[in-house]
Amino acid sequence: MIPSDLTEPGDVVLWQQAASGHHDSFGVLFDRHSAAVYNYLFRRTADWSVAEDLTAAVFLQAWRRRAQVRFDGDSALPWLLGVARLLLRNTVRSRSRYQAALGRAGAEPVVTAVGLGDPAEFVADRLDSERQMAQLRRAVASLPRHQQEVIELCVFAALDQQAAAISLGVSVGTVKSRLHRARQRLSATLRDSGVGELQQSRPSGAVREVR
Amino acid sequence: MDTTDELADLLPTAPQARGLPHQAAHRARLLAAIAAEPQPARPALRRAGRGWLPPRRWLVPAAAAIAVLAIAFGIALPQLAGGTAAPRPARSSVLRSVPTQPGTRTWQVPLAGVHSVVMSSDSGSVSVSGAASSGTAPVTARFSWRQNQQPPVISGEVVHGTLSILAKCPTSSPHCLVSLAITIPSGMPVYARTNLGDVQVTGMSGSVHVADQLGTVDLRDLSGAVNVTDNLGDIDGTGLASARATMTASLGDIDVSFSSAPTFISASDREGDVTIRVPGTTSYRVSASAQLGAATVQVPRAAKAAHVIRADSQLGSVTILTGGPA
Repeated sequence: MIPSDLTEPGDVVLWQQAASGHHDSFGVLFDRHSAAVYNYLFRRTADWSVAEDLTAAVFLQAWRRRAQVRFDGDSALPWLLGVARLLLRNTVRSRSRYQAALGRAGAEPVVTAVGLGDPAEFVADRLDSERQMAQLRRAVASLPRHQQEVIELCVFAALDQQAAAISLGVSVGTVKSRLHRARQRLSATLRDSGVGELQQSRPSGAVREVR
Repeated sequence: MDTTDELADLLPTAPQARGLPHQAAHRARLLAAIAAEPQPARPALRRAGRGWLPPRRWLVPAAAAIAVLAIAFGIALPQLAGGTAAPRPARSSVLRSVPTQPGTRTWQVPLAGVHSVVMSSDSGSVSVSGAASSGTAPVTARFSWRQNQQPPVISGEVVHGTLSILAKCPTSSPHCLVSLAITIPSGMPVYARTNLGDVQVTGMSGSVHVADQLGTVDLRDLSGAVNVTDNLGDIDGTGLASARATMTASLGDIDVSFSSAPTFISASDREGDVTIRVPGTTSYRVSASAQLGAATVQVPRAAKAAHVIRADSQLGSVTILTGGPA
């Protein structure tokens, strides 16, 4: 990941360049934000390979919606996470549709063969973090979907409330109140059941959420 | 303490964030897909104060019905018109060959309507050379496989202006190799990939993307943006005049030398050494980190310089020097 203070133009400039036909600028935006989008997708799905598959799809969708971009200061990331969130609503359908669009463009599907690319330690590490994430998803699964969304953005993706408001297309006040209610509800659950039980209180069916 | 922190304390810890694997390949695919998107963009449906909203419910079946009708007419109309109104095909096959015996073959592939090139081999080296503009591109393939096994297949097609030359081995036999070489006008953007084999790109001024799993990537005399990932092999570069270069390796070394001062270099390695040579004629904003090895920076540095070098290796050393190879 390239820290933004070491690179040249900001997101707004790059976005304008990209929209006026300089596709390479969109490539720079991809380099800048793909890891954050990838990790957001992982934290929604608890599956690294699904997250990897969908990352480029999020940017393709963002490209198609490029005229609707909204920036948080100079950052396009909150809006990109909003695109990712909407894309996940139709995960199954959009996954195949975007894979088809990306495939049609002529490039080969990206090789994700485990054998050559990932030494065994990576794989073990990967499975560990997927298990850890699944546990975390179970912990928030008792909350209503819109409260989960603010946790995903503010806690997992470390966006501030203004940025989360842009992702969700709601006001900052709404983000605040959702966060507040999520906290009340979670601490109530904790009071009733204790932390350990909270983490195990949900059946594993809720792990791979597809909405 | 604000609500977000309180929430974070209530929840189990989230797993560590990771970098996107195969980033260069994903980027190349994305850019190819964008290049293939219909132009111009659909008109903006901006709504004050809100981002993009999903379409209204009734629009979906309506759009589906229209699409079905459009496809039906698309199939029926050209036939009714006696096939005279054939639109320019977005996809056309320019090459397909299944060799009968091992050896080398060369084809001349037409470049009409081609604006970018993809070269991909499952196993075998890939070589791309730049030349003056020309109406055709010579493609050479060297095949080898076990005669009692299925032969490899090489195909070439132009899809929305991207020429893709793909070599595939039907089995994952280690004896099946197809090495590809092409000479194209130097300004064309190119994406070269192989799983097993070297990649060489020479004399290009368009952007260059390379994804290699196991093999050396050799870059010579390039001036467009460079983006390379190599999992297990080395990345070597000489005579680079690119403004931007991003290189990621895992086990191999990165050793690149620039003939003009680049605006931005990022070189990231896990276990190999990183060596970058740049002209000493200007100063650079350098961030060099080596967790276990030595980090040596011998170029003029300035905190606000317009030329940025970012290099890191977890286990190897990082060396940033001026001048050509020693």
